[in-house]
Amino acid sequence: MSTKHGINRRDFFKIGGITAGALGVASVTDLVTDGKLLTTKSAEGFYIRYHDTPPYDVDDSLYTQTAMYNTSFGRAPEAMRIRKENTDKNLAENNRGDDRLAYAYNTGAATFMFDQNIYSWEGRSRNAMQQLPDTRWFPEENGYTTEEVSQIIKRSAKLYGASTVGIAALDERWFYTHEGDSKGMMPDPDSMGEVTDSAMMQQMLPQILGSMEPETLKEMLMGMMKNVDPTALPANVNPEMLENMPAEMIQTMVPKMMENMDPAIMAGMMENMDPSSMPDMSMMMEQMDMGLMMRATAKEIRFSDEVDTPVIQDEVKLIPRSMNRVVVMTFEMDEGGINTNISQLNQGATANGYSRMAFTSACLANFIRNLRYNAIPMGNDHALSQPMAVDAGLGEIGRNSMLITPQYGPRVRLAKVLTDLPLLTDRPISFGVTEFCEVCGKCAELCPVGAITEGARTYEAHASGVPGYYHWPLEGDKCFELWNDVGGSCSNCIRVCPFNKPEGWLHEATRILIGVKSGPLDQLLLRLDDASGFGVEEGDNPRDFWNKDTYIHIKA
Amino acid sequence: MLIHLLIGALAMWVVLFLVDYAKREALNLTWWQWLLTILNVLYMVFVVEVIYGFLAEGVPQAALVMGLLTAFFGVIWAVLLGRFVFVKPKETSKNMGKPSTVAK
Repeated sequence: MSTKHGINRRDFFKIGGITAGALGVASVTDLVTDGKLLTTKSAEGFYIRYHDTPPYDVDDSLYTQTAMYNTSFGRAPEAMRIRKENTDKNLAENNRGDDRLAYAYNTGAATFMFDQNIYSWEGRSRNAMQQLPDTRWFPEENGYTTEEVSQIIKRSAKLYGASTVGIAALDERWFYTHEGDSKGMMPDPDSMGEVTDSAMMQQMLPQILGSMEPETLKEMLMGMMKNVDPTALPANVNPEMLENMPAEMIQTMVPKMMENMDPAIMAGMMENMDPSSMPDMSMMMEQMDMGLMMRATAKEIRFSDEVDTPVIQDEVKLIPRSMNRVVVMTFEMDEGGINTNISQLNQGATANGYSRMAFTSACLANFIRNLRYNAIPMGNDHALSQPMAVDAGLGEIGRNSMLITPQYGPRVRLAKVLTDLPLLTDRPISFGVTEFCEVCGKCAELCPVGAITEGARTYEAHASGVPGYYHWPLEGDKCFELWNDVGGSCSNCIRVCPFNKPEGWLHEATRILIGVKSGPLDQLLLRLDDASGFGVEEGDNPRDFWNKDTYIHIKA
Repeated sequence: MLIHLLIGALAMWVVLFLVDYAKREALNLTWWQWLLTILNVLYMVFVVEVIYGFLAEGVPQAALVMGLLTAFFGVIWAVLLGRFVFVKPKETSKNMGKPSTVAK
């Protein structure tokens, strides 16, 4: 077969093989050079594609910003009462995972979750041993480039506790129109005693008091009145009268009386009240309509060129327009906890994420403030974290409405720090999430309350969402209802998501297959995921939780 | 770590055994036959690592399913290699006088 001037069959196959190999390498290289050279990257991997604009579609004619009180937390008047009832029921049943020990573990994990001060808009780290100048620090004067400062901020965020970090230019659309005093996530039971806003109290108290058990209400009012200056009380109201009055009558009378009370008298009562005589405010929390409180304390969020620092006024929160960078951080949640069935042990992973969000964002904000730049640390409050995280190149939005990251899938919590420190932005990424979610739908299929859309994406939204964002709308109200019904929370859609896998080359290989524009391969990978027993209806037994050897990864 | 070293050592032993076997049996394998053999050994290492990886992760069902799936192709590949590359056909009355199937 060989010829002197032509090529023989063996050489033909050799050349063919080399060509095929070269084509394979070239196709991979295409992914790397898809788009321009990056300035900074928040995620690495040859299967990750970088974009100049975020990979989502927003119809501005439909998009409507929402207020924090319109989210599910503000739309369930009975939530706290139902939650308390089911918590008591769980404790009485004393089952592993929802027993006293599990509740205590979860509460420990949530230590910083409800800390109102940690998300303060003002700096709080005044180190007495280390007084820093009040002048602003400029990178160029000190031999730093903006790129270096960006890297330093990211590295610091990781050292403080973030799992991954990205930086985005601020898109004001993601901010809520109104935000209450509740920072981070929900009102803090301990801070209820500090509430002195009489208008708010007047709006809230009648409903709270009216919904309380008569005897409990009487006991609480008696406690409150012990140390109140009698002159601050309305006419004909005194502790003796209250003591002699039947509890049922108090329950009917007091809320109405408070509704009609002069706000100045109410303010006087609150100011003169001895905090040590205040009843256990957690009792009020159990009866409280969170939405009512969120509405009562809501202030309009407004970006302004008129202010140099963030200012909280009576009716409005002003943010300087110069604060145009947002550092977004993810916090990996414990795999062992998330993969456990709905229980307090499962919720502990979430609560721990919230505590780390608070700690880390406060640390980062104080780092920036000590360079004399503005910084506002935020948890779930003030703005939608998911689209900000997409802008910062941390992941894509999945069918479950959560951020899906290349590193941990949806098993992350999010926090952000808004600042005017000059920083380079990251480029948004995609790695096949949307395409995979189109064929998957496991989270929707296995959602205990059917809160996740099984069909196609849409610009519409449920009552607690925002319309105009092309996505799979989540019915958050159903979600929150379930949480209260179980006396905790649910992470089912995170647990069953095929992107929720531990680290390791096996799963990395799957992520690569999903990311490399695999198309029909997604269906096969999904079938293999099912056959392998991942993401099944039942999670791990809470009894096994304490023997698991999972831990949080900090990639610094 | 130790388990990975053991798997690697086992793979090396298989390769060395095949080299030695080819010498002993005077098999004159071409470069692409050796390439296919090495790739098969590497693939079998992959199969063992898949099984071990899923077992270490605590998901025995995944170890079984993915192990069976990947091993299926690896075993067929190994059998074909053995039959057409490494095992000389016995001289029987049927194939006496016919050209050898052992590749040159």
